[in-house]
Amino acid sequence: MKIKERIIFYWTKLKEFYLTIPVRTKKMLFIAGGMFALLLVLLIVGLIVKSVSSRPVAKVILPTPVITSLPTPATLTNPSKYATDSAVLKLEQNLKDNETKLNSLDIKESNLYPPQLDFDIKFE
Amino acid sequence: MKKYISLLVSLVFIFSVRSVGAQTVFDYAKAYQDYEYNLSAYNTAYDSYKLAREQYLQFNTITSKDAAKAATLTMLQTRDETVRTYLTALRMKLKETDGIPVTGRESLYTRIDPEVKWYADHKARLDSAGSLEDLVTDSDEAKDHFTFTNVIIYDSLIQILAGKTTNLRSVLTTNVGDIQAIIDTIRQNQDKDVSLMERALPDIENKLARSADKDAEALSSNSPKTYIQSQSLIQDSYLYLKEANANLSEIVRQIKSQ
Repeated sequence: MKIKERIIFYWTKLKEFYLTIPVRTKKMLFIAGGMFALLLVLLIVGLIVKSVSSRPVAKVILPTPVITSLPTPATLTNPSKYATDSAVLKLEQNLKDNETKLNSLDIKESNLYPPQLDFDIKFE
Repeated sequence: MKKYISLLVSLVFIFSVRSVGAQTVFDYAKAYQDYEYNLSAYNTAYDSYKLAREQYLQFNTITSKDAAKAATLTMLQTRDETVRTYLTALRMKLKETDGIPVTGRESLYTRIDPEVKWYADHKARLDSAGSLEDLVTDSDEAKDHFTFTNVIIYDSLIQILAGKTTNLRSVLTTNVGDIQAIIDTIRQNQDKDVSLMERALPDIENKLARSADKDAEALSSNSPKTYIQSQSLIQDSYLYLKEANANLSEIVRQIKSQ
């Protein structure tokens, strides 16, 4: 059997089968097919919308802020004769050391909290 | 040749002695490491105990009771060891924290040391327990005792925190004296106006006094139930010290400026 004849054969069979289906079942098949087609269309539309929205948007190029270094408070613009005094410098260093100690101080010592132990041992 | 061999042997001996000496150092870091190890062992033993207990309560067989007894024994031993090593770590922290008064430190030592012994003895006694019920009795004994231990623990903790602020306050008080001497010199030399600096000093001294008051209040009102409030008072004390140090730095900046 050639291909064309085979197609005609199956087409005829399908037509015959279609004629045997009751009208009510046909309606249901039409409704189901329609819903499936609608879902397919919605899926395709959704995919298109998604691909459009995810397209990279042209970046707004903002001017890069220029970092200018401000004078630190420690820099003295008008130093007194005591600015280089050894006692003053030593004291200044001591106060800086204090600040370091104060900032690094673990004032809660939370790692030394007592261990959580169960003392309620019962077999009842 | 003999000379070189004897020299080599001597060097090996010296280095081995030094390394042995280095290993025997027992400080807070080592004590805390021991405590962490025992706490981890306790947690493992506790999980096994929970499982064995559940099985015993479910099946109530001789085998499950024996298993529960063995698991309970291990758990109680690790629990005692955890408390013992924790107290040892706390003792080492007290020893290494500057600013704690000698009397306060010694007083806590005399309270901690018997506790360390109590938990060691209790642990040693556990082996002789003949039944699961005996182990429960032993556990209850430790439970009752721990309420007493807890008071010592929180007294030690607050002393450690107060020691830290006391130490820094002592340094800052010395700094106030130093700055006062510098201001006096400047006034005598009549180099610059020091009136503003002189007026700032009493305020700094007041902050140090307030810090001391907060510490004293924290120490006097402390208990296991009120520890969080005492800790908060030490935090306030610490903030006064920070402010005092910042104010002293500002005076130094003024001295250095025209």
